[in-house]
Amino acid sequence: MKWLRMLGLYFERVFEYRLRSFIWLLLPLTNNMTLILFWNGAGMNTSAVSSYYILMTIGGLLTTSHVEFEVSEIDIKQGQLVNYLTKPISYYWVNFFSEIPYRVLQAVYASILIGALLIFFPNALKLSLNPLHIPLVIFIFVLGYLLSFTFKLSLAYLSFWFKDIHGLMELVTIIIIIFSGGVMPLPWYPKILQTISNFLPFAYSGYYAITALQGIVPLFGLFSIVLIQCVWLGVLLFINKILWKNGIKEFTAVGQ
Amino acid sequence: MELKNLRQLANNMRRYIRIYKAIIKINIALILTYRANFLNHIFSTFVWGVFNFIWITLLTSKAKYVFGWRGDELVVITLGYIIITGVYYSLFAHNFEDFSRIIDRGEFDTVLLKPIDPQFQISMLRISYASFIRTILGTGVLIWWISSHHYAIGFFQVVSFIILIGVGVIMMYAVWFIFITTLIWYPNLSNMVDLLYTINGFARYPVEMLKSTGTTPLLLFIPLSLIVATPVKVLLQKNAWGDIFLLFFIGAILFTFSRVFWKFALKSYTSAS
Repeated sequence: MKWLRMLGLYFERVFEYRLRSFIWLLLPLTNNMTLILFWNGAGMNTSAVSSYYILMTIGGLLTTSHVEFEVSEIDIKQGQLVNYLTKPISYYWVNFFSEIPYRVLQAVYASILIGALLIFFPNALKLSLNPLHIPLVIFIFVLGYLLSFTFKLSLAYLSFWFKDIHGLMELVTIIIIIFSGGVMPLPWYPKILQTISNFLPFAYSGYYAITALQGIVPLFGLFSIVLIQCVWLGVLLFINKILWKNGIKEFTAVGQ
Repeated sequence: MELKNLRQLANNMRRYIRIYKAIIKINIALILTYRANFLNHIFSTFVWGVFNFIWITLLTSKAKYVFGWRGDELVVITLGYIIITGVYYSLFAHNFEDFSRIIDRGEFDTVLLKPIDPQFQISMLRISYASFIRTILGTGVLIWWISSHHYAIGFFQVVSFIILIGVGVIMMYAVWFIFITTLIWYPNLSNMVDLLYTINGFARYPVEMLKSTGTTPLLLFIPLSLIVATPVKVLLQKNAWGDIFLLFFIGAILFTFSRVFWKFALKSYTSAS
């Protein structure tokens, strides 16, 4: 019940800044739209390319967490963390629930925009998803979000030891964009980058979720995506726990 | 009477140059005070510069010819983009990041009360020396790229490229300033600058890309794609007279409009935090 109440409060906060949230939606949309135009000029199959980038926009909005700035800058550096330490709630789950309303609102915006797009360009999005696979695809999206959230939260915990992790965050953002198919579909990458990408968790957050949604992955492939996501989630949760346990010892808050 | 006006204008210019010299010194002092922060910024600026290069290298590994541009020429556009954004982010962008906070917290009153032009204060107080690393990186790689691809480039092309980059920076400033001015009415939109960083990305691609869409909302971004593509066209000796004219013409209109729009917006500022 307490989590539901908290979720309600977070929803209120997010809906108060609707226009701001809409601008956050425009960022990936603008990026991916320029890439669609680029490939159009390169004479690539427009329908397949636009499908990929439209779904990447949705996948990114639904599965990419942006928890790191608030945790690192506001909670740890500015000391707001002390508010949570005195409450009988898990800091991990507080952040998890605070992010959900953002994802929901952005998904609503994305659905409206893409719905409008499909009215004017009916061939812009091609899905051949087997309806029986839908529950599994939803599960892949949930795991994808959890992966991104746990990774970003762990990254933010590094602020317990370092004064400024801004540069590191920028580097990680770039690595995520490259190895999660943010530039172009992973099979188009040079072999070496594809191999590296398979050994990193980033593609299992958004990229494989959208390939599952496209319906190009067979049932067995969906299960193997879930399995690898679970393994990565286990690893990241373990790292997250270690970082929190040791990091909190470094945290000091002073007041009168 | 006219002579008096000219003298007043010259005195004003001298005053602002003096102020800007002081700003340069203050910003150097800030680097020395926050050295770790400066190094961190150099690192992040550097990685974004490298990322832009990786980005276009990946794209051109699949697309050999886009809107009449060869893959290696698209890399030159990206390098031009890295150079121009390096200059722009050093001189202006970080000032605009502060503006939404200044408006939202009611700190804009103190800006308006000072005997210095508010637009000057909002646009010029912060200099990010770290961002110049992007320009240095872009210039270095561009020289290497040009020599390794044996482009025939003369003195005239280089000088024209530098002049047009200057015009491009002014145009980019005008576009950003018009957007930023709307914060006077919508102070909550603190992520407006993030949007501007994103739409700046249009400058990484050939201007023909937006022209080909024929869609009005996208055509509005043509000024941004002219900013880099035009100097690069001149550098590579492509036919660019039309684009040069557009760059100067639209640049002048946008710059004038940004000033008029700012003056108009100031009338709506209610001074409440």
